[in-house]
Amino acid sequence: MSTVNIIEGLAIKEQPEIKKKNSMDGSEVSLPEIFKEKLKDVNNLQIQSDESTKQLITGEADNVHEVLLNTEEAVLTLELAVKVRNKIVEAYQEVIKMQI
Amino acid sequence: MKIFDTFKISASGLTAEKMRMDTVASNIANATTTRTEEGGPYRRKIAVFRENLEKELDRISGQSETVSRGVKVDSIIEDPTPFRLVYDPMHPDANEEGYVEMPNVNVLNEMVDMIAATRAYEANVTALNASKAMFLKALEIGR
Repeated sequence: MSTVNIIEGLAIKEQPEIKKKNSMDGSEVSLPEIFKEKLKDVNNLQIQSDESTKQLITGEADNVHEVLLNTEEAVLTLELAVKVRNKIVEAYQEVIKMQI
Repeated sequence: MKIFDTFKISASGLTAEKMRMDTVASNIANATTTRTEEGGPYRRKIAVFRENLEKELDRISGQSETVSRGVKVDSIIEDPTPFRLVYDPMHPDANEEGYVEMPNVNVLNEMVDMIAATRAYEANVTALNASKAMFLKALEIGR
């Protein structure tokens, strides 16, 4: 999806190198990496939604509600991703505006 | 993703209710069917639901826990009640006394089952919309 690509481009560029402890194995993972990974998930859901819509149109889908649910999931995750991006950009701008 | 588990539970309800609707539709369609694969008239079908539980490993504690995955159709059983006997000597499947064994389907009962399935489907959609509304509300935090 093109929307996701735009976000990906924006987010990665504007991310400073913040290191964050990974809660799972204690290794250091940078925030941009986490964000990138999650964006990939969002993108996958968009693709899945597209795929199931295609199946509905071609008559392969057996349940209409599953198609709608996939679309809904894609919409909601994208919305969440946009919210997170906005927060990150907001924080970034706050830092940029700082007087030296 | 864990946040969409509620959706999946509601979706399983939708799938199950659709299955129930399918059996009702089959029962109504075959309300006067006297010939089947197994021989004899059609037997009324009933969808039996089962709670769908799944064992899952907890990521932090490493212990397995049971989580609900909603509902699933366990099996489709046949109603064991006796067939209806209808007097119709002209019918090709009539016995010597002129009686025909008709399916044990009561269309009125099927209509009631159909309404129940429709309403249950609606209820699942409502639950789904409510969980979606909750998610959207959560997105509004800090705005």
